[in-house]
Amino acid sequence: MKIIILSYLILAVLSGCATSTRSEFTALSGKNVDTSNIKVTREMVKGNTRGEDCQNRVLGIGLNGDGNATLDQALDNALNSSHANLLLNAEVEHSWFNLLRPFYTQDCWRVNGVAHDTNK
Amino acid sequence: MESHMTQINKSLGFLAITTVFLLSGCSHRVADLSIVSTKNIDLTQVSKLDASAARRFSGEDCSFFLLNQYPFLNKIPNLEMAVDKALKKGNGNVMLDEVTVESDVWAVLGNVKCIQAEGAVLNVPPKVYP
Repeated sequence: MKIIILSYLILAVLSGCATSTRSEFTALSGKNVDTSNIKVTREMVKGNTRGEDCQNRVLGIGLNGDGNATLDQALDNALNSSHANLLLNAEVEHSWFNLLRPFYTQDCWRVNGVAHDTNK
Repeated sequence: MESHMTQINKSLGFLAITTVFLLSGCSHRVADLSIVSTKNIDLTQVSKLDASAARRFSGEDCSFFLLNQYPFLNKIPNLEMAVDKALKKGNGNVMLDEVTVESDVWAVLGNVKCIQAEGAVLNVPPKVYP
């Protein structure tokens, strides 16, 4: 019985697993949006954009520098690529993946939506 | 007698290490946002609101992960749920003014992962389609 439980625990800890969660927002921004004067017009639309921030770790050591993957960075990447400051109809995905934990783990934030530049 | 004491010390040491390992946790900030909404709002009406006068509310969504990786009942902490809970508490539909999003992990006989959203909750009139 002990061997069965131990085998189960070892298999469970060492096996790979991927999970992800998705959130939807009508408006999302990490930039300085002048909320005292938001007027969304067609001219402000910068089109669809996407950004991501991932951290891959091998034995707990980050391959993409120090720190964790953040929603902030993923959102910044999405907004900066379109020179925008506001994302409408945004979708945020947070995913984790690990293989033979703690040998390899991956943590990712992905953002996509319609970019707007309200300063225009 | 001495070997008995050594045995007790070993057990206490093991218990202390196990307790620290099982009850450890960490938290990190994943975003500082200026505007967040999950509701159908008229953005042009946001300008009429005063965020500095609004009260701050926070919402949290948590789930339990077995053996650090298997989500119990397949439930995963969701940012949208955390924001919705904060909006519901504040009876509003938009969060403004330094909205913070934090992610926590607490190891209590497995893992409890949480995501928290906090910000000034305001109520914008819903968008009306002609």
